[in-house]
Amino acid sequence: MSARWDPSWRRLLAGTGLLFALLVGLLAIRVHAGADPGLRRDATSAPAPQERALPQLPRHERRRLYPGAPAPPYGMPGQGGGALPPRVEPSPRLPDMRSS
Amino acid sequence: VTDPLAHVWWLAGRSAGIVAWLALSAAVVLGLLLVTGLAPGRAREMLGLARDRLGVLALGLLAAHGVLLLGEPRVSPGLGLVVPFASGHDPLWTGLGTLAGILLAVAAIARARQVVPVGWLLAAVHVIGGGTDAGSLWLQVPFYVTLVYGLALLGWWAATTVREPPPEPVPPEPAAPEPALAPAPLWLRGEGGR
Repeated sequence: MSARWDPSWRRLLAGTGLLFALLVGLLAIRVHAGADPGLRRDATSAPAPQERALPQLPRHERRRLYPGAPAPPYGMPGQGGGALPPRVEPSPRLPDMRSS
Repeated sequence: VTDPLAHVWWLAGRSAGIVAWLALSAAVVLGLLLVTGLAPGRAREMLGLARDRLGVLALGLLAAHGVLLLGEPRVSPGLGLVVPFASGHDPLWTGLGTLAGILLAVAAIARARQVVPVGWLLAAVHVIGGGTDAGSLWLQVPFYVTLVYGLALLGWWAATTVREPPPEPVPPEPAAPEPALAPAPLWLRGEGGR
């Protein structure tokens, strides 16, 4: 085989470094443009999950879906009535950071 | 607008993971080409050298992938970097990645090349399940091309290995009979030999 295809350490490290730098640049551009799948543009402006008003759900569903949430007041629909907080839809663009 | 510098460790960690996958896949593919005999004879030495060096490079990049992610508190694997499934963030997928890294490191130290495809497959599951960019087309194309090519070679290798059973031990041959003595030369036979 010709020396042109010789897998020297220098070539491998240079190629790896170049690819790594290109990927960091690409990801940085995507983050800057707000198009990164792991870090939504409004991640910082979105309220924390604990602060969001919970959607109206039956008591057992709320416990199942939001185990850390405070217990809802009695008077959910079908349970005797009572003033309910206005329903707030959860933001569809929540921060979604993953490890890799 | 989000400042990329605020997440530089996270971006670097993701990039290192992607390059690690590519280097590892290249090493696995080259190894399978060599072990199946599909590599051309005159290139075998060079391909073997490339396989070994890409494997070492992939191990370094895997370590960098984990260490760089420690810098991003929200996704830091913490103890899960070295203990599988102990990560506070996404323990299943992170744990599979940790397991893959440990397997590959052990395979490199023990020179157990048969284990490398298992670590590679675990890494693939880690990418599919836990990869931030696993849903992006720009990553899906090279990822699935390398995955499918590697799986095809792995299937070829498994099929040819199963089809060809190991040679049975050959029983020792009985001792060859003593060679017959050569006829005596004429000058020894005497006169009556005619």
